[in-house]
Amino acid sequence: MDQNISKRIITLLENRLQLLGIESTDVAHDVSLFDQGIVDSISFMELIVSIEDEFEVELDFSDMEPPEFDSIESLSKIISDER
Amino acid sequence: MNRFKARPGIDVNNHCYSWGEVAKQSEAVAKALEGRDGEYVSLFGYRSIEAYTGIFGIILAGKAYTPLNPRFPAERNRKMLAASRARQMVLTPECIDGFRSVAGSAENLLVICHGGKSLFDGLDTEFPNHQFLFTDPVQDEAIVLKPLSVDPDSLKPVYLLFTSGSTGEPKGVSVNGKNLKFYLNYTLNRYGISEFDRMSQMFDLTFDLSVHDIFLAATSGACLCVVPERSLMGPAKFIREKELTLWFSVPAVVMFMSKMRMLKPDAFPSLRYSLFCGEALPARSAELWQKAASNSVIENLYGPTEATIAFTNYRWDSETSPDQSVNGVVPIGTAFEGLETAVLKTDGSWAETGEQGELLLSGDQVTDGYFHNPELTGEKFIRLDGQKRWYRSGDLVEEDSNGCICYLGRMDDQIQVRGHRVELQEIDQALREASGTELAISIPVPGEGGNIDSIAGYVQLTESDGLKQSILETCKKSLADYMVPSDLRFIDSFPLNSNGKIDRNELINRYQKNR
Repeated sequence: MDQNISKRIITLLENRLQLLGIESTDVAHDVSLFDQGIVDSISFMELIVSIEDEFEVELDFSDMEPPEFDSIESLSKIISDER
Repeated sequence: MNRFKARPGIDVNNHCYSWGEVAKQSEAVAKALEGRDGEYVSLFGYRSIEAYTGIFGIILAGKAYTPLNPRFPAERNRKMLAASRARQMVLTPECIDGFRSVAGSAENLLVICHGGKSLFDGLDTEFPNHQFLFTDPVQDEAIVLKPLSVDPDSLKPVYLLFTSGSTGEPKGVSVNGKNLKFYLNYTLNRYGISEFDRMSQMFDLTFDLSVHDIFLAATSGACLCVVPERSLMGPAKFIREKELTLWFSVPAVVMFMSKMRMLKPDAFPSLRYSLFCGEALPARSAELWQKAASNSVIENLYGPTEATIAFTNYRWDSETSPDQSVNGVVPIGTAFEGLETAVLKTDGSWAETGEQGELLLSGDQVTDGYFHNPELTGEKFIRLDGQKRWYRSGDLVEEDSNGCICYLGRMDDQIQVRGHRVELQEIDQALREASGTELAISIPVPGEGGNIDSIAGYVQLTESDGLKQSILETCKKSLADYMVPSDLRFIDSFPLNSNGKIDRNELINRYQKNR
């Protein structure tokens, strides 16, 4: 289940990874996407919007602080909790 | 600082230091700098207690600070360091790697290592061309703390910052005691800041809006609450946990927080004032923020580094302001009391109400000019009407019938990306160097609310495997992250305008159609 969500998040990041020349297999799931240089604030927002479309969820970060939401693993958890 | 000795001073990295503690650490830096030559001291620190006490120490020693930024590419830091002509540097532990990347090419420096001594081990043998010194913690409890005063009559510099230049060379702006004191007095009084306030510190030290946070806290005794790097994008929890009373950020943060559903009604009841500066404030953002910060007065500030932090303000009113906004952008208002603005038309005459022109600024906050650049200073700082000295902001504005100034855009190719000033020519230059062709140009990409979200690049080349990446990688080495194009397109031939130059506007149109 979670594995599947993680995979779909990485698919949503495909354009970004291509632009940066990063292989999807090289993305660490438990490290901040910011720290890995994969997203900046703008592309992170874009990712959130596409996650909401893809999974048909509304993500609420108002009581969270990174690292609670900035890695593939933490995002997967939030998405599965929402569904 | 003496008066507030026991009051919370700086809350950073999960620890709150009293002003007494801050003063002692600052004194240690001042002692190390005492009697040294030169006006400017480089500061390499980032969101740590040592970074702030480094600044105060430099000021206490009667010198001006000029900050580097570990988030900038090494080349940019090297250029700023060289241009500042600083002979000493205050270095803090979190910037040791950054120091390594600039130290090799730097002329010999006296490096004052500020922080845990062992963290700097080995630097002296690694860089024998520089001298290293360590700050000694001041132990004496009875020490009389010197007040951190900025002398209002002093023409001595307080800080030197660099802004983007069209040639790729950063432009230095030095702000003196008189400039800064005017700003501090006006602002302290307007917002009634006291030792019971808790202020946000969002801005990097290389951005002059950080001076507002740091110096207002130090002169009023308020607590400076430093937002950790990771929370810069979504600081909702931080605002609540730290019970901030004064907020200051770029408007872009509002849109981010809104998308992340962080702006719930009455989410931030502790805020008394929320100030926004650095780029156009969309009326929509002000509305969203007002609902979340329901007890807060919102003000839109405007001002270039050349005229000290901010120069005009506009108070948001949920009833009347939406109608007063132009193109959905909140007006920038009127000059601070005691300062002056004027609007100059392109034909050289003063604009009437409702006429467009360039915004000119005059008064005590206008700085002396560009650092060691008399030519550019002469171009941008002019005398009109006899003796009055004006700074030409390059911003296109008009005044409405209430005497309120509305920002319309830039006169030139300078843009704001998330609050940072960017000259497109500087990015063009980096693209040309990275791609090896003269036919390269950058364009701004507008996002929601009309502000520029990011930069895209165009090169007249045939696309090949990995070329896009390698060009962007090369750009990253010389440009700050907010300047690096987030997209690069290959084009067979550029559209030209009537002057035979690459038509940037046509490219912007094409890009918008094909996002």
